[in-house]
Amino acid sequence: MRTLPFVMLFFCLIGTTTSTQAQTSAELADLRAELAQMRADYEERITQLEQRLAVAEQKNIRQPTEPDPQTTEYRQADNTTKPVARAGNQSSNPDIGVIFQGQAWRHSGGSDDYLIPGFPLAGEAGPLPEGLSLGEIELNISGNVDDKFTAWLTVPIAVEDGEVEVELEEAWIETLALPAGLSLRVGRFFSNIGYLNDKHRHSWNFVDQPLAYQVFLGNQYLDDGAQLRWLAPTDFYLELGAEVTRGDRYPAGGAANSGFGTYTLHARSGGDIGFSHSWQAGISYLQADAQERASGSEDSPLMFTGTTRLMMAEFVWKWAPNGNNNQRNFVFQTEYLWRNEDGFYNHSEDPILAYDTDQQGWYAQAVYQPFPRWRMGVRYDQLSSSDPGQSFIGTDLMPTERNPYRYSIMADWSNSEFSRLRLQYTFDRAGMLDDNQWGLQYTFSIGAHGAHSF
Amino acid sequence: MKNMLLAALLLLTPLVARADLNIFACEPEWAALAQELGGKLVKANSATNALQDPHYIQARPSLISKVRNTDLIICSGAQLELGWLPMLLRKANNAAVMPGTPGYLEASQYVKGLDVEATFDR
Repeated sequence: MRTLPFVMLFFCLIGTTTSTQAQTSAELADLRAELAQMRADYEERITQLEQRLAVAEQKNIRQPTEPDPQTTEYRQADNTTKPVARAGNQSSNPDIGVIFQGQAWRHSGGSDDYLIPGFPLAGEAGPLPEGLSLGEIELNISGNVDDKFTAWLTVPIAVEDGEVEVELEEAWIETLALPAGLSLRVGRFFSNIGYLNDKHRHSWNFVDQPLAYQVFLGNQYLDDGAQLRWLAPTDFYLELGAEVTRGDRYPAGGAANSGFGTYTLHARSGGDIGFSHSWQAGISYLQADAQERASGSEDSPLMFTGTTRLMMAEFVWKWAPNGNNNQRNFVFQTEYLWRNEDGFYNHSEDPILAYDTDQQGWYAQAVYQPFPRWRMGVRYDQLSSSDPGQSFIGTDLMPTERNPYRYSIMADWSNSEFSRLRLQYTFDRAGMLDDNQWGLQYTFSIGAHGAHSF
Repeated sequence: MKNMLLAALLLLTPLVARADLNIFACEPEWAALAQELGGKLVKANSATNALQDPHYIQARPSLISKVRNTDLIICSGAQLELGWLPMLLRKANNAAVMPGTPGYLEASQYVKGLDVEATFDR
């Protein structure tokens, strides 16, 4: 039985050798065919690959930046964790900016005890101090509270009579997401009345405010309160606003009516004429009840108790060829202010004097930028007053025969939107003496600098 | 009565038949792109023209009312419009296009910036 495997092996071997011999020629043919097939396959694949490469290259030309995994990730993250609303600047929260101001100023008449007969001066009103001095150092901090509220803080640091004074100029919260074109602001803010009232000092076109703003608003009216603004859903611009304030600051005073003493209203419209011209016009109204409001000298102030009503009209026209403001532009602005004060004055020694007087003030100014960085401007401002009556003869509240007026010319140079040097000359016939005022003022800004309004 | 109703309807039609989506673009390039993509469904307007420097634009009343009535803002971002767009947004009281909402698109947020300095000085 041991032979059986051998026999089987033998037959197997014979079988294979014979079949090999028989199949050799057929197999060779098969192999050749297979090779040819493989070559064809590869050639086909190569052409396919070449086609795909060509397509990919074309795509690349159309879309030069392939989606980077990092950007894609960022985009997805962005969509899920909605970024908090920030007006364009995402450098930091909060944004901090500091504005430096100072001046060298000369008077021919002297700036001490400046007063305009017939017009009470209060707040920061009056000409710049003589000599080298620091203006306000304005510290601005702002940022979004969350997606519904934004906040703003302005703290001017000033040197007054050799002492450093930190004030609180603005500290407000404003809504970002009220419906129907409404927004609400609460806190301390510059009132939205008039054109110049809510402009910060660094954006003024002259070193000082017009006389009308000085005597009727104490330079600028700011107070604690709430402001509601509504923008009409129309193609032309129409903004209506109302404010209720505490009434603690000039031209109000003493927080009358339990601290709800003062309210303002304003309406404003504007538009473009072609590409090169744009305009804005508005009217505003302020009514305040004053309780023992102090004005004049600090040692023996004039105290007013009564109602003050102020009506303001504003008009601004701006021109820039093709709207390219950076190259060449011209701005004309004018405002008219009318005030009635009805109540009584008391002075430390004098008896109570009944007072009912109408006063007006206006200014007109033009500023021209002939080429980048350089601007020049002129301004005229004037006041007038009705006669308060016999009993005021001999007091600071008796206006002179001649209406107070001033004219000013200025030229300034800005190396960038963050720096400015200004030369100004003012001829002042508003005070007791004719006064020639002139000097140099600087304004520099570091850190975040908010966008300016029209 | 029927005629009067018809007349009233005809009078009102131009007020109602407006583009589906109002787009406020900061530069003409974005307005052209949005109009091309949106076709008849959108109405894209540019705040600036090619002759202006888009970094120095006044926050004009006309632009404020355009932002008030827009559904989508498309801007370049990267602080190009920093001097005026934030003021337009603050004055326009349009909650639908505030930064962070779907109505506010800054192109620079969706591309990888080249040669961006980590710190910079003016």
